[in-house]
Amino acid sequence: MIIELIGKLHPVLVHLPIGIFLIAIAMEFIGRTKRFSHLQMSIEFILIIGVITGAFSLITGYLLSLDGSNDSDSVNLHKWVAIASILMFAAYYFFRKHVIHKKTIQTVALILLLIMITLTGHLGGSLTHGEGYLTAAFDKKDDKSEIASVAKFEKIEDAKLYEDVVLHTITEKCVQCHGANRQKGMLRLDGKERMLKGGKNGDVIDLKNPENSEILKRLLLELNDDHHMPPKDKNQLSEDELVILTWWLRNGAEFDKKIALYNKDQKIEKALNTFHQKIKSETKIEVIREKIAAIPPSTLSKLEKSGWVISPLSSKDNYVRVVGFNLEVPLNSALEGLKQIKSNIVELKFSFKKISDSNILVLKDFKNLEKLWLDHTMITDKSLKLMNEFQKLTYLNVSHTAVTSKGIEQLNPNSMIKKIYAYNTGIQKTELTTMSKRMPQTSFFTASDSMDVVPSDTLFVKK
Amino acid sequence: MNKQDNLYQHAKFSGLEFNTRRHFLKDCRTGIGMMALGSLMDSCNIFSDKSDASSLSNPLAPKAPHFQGKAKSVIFLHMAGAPSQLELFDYKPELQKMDGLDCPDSFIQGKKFAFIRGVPKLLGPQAQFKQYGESGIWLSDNLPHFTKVIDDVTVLKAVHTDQFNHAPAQLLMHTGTARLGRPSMGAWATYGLGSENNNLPGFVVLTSGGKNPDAGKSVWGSGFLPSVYQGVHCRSEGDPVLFLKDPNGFDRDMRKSSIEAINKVNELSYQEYKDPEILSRISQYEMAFKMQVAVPDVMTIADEPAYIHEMYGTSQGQSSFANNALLARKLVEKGVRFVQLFDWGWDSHGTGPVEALDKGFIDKCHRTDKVITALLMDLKQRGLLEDTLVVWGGEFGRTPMQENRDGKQNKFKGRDHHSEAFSMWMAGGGIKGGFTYGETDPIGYNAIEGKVSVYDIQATILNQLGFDHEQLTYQFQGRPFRLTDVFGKVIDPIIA
Ligand code: HEC
Repeated sequence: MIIELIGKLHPVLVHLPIGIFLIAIAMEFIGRTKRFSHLQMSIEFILIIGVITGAFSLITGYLLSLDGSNDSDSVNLHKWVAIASILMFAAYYFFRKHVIHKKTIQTVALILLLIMITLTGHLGGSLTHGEGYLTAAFDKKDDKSEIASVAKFEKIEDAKLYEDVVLHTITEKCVQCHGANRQKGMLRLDGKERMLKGGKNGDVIDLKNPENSEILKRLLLELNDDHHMPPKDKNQLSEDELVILTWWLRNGAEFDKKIALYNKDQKIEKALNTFHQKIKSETKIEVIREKIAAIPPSTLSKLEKSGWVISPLSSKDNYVRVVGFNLEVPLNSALEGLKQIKSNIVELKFSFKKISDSNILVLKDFKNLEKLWLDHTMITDKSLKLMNEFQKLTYLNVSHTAVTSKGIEQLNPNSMIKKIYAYNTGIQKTELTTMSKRMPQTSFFTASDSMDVVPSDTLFVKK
Repeated sequence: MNKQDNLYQHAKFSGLEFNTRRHFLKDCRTGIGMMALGSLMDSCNIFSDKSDASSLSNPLAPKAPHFQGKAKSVIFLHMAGAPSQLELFDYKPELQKMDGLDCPDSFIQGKKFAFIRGVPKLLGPQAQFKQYGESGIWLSDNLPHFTKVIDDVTVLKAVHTDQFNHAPAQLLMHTGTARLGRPSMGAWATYGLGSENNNLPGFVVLTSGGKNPDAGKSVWGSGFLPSVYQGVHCRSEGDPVLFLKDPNGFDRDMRKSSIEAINKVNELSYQEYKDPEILSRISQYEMAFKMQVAVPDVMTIADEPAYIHEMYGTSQGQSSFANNALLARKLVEKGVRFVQLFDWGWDSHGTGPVEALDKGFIDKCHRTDKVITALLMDLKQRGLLEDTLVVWGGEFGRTPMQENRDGKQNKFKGRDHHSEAFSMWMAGGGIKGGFTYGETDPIGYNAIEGKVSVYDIQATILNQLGFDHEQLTYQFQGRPFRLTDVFGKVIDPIIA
């Protein structure tokens, strides 16, 4: 609590050392004139005060960074630059007092210090106001990038070549350098108008003679060529993306035409299909999940002590997969414990636990479950009703349980569950067709086909 | 200049005259010493600002991948010795027509082979091929069972490597370099993701075929990563892990308190030196203690029902590839991150019947075909295949030419080591099913389309686990290292 509060003081406190150091630098210069030479005497005192308040700012800043809400790379940079600035001021104080009196050296040092203090301030500002806040006023009003939206077409034929395909690739591979934040070569590619406006060397797309377009040339250059885009050490276009992009340019770089209206050869078809597959799979895994708070470390360590293994699904959000092969506490209390992180749990594996129909009721409010393993547990048909509570569930494993087709019948016929694994249960292979008919969106899996005996199984070649 | 200054200058110069080379070297001593100290202390992260509280307790604690991976575990089936792609996956009818002809000069000019000398003869496929599955993928009659699961598999037909000897090629495949000293793929995976079952090692290795890989244990080593991440080599007969049992007259409580005492001392020395290897040692002791109970449980196939044994074709009480495959499934089911199987005996040079493509090789196929098919089917029926990535392959392929060791045709039908193009396959873990990628020229010598390198395979495996292979790095000797060195590109087209 109190630590947080002290941390919050940082944005206020920082202005002290900045102001004080600036005053010191100003007095150093002004004090060189005869008239104000008396200022010289105070500079040492001011420097000391500056270093002390600077140290305080460092401490509060450090406390503030502990809450981890900011991107740690930028925080680290800010921190180290700040530390360096303060050390440099301290060093300056020391040299000024004991060693160096030469004017020119002093001037260089002062300018360096001025740069450092400005840089520190700017980095701090970027943290609070967001990157690029300084130049925001200069950017035009319509600054919002036209970026590719999520695929809104079923068949690739229905997609618009520029909007749905080309822009998607450009957003992914070019816009980080040619977009709102950076305009390398004074070029922006995040939208039709901006693209047509061109870069520092004029048009990048030649509508009359597309073959002559600067973009096309750059894309087709050898990877090692300095003018190749994207630059050599950056994420490159895939072969298919390149095929599509060049195809679009060569066909007149039209911005509104549907793919169906183009002539396509086999190579293009293939590239378009791969692209479509890729988008589909991207939208598949990058399921749009709501933002959610991280699990507090204390809760995490308590649950881990009770034997749950809690793995973050990715470093991009706070959703987790929970597995408990070796629980250290009685099952009931272990399950109760999970309630504290119920919204974070997306994948939950109860395999091989002595979990019964009554135990499983704790899951009632686990609204974010997407994958649930109940294989090798003691659940029966009764538990399946609960599955209808989980709107996001796509994977359910009830292998090696007493579940029968009666249980499956309790599932909502329009259930979003894509796959149900029911190997070694009461469900017979013969029942699968009726089950799939009732639940058209779900695939059921029971025992794989048995393997036929082939002669080679017993026949080994003599050596 | 005034007099005082002059005097001072003079004194300084005469002082310098006494400064001999000996002095200079003496002065250097501390400087160079400090530099050496710096690199020695490199592994001790005493200057690190991250509090290592979590790693102090458990270096195998779960960690976040870069993005959500589709695979949670990997089973790597390494057919050590390098099986012939031309008798399994890469159907080359043209090569059949050219059987017995001299190999065109253009193929062998300036090339180096392990054994082929002079002008070898081309050797047609020693197997019959047909199309199978809905996907209509060509497979040879050496894989009668595998035809049934082909629609779950992506076959990569144009993999290439730059090593043509077993040991370096195996090292390259598993550690990303042909030389010793780098961590293996399994070590990287456990380093990156941690383990889901803290009673079992995160990375298990099982070998069969009567011989360990030529490259030795380095193919499952941890290199410069902390040694907790190295593969634990288990046996499928007798004690699964050697030296795990308590000595006679030593009960579990006593073992527990002695391990606790040792770990306390180790923790103290970690506080002092911050050497991560001490953490490794601590967790290894703890894990060994837990494994004493957990491992015998998982590492036995005795409790599996008879029909599963029949399915895999196991031979209980012995060590076999079938037993290992069944164990692999059990381990993955229990949360082991990476299981690596080595099966020796695929080095079909044709110098004897065991190494003949029409004898010993077929035998090898029959001994593994059913097993591998069973493994895929079993994983699938249990719902494990979608988050388990299964990878199959050798360390390189075999030549379209018949081997002529020292210029003389070998007695039996055999092929030499071939690095230009060979086949591998992947299944599950978010990889497409019933798909082939890559193509070789009409005689199967060079890759002509969809050529992928060993690094691309590694990058793809890491990608399926949720890692950007360029970001999964470890700081060592002053620079970050990664599995794929400076190479590798994820094979996007094969990802479902
Ligand atoms: C890592 C940053 C980066 C990325 C990503 C990038 N570029 Fe560039 N681009 C630059 C830089 C820097 C220049 C200016 C230097 C030059 O002319 O080569 C430039 C210049 C250009 C120019 C010439 C502008 C002019 O008028 O001089 C074009 C056209 C261009 N890029 C297209 C692209 C395309 C298309 C992509 C995506 C496929 C892309 N760039 C991705 C950094 C990038």
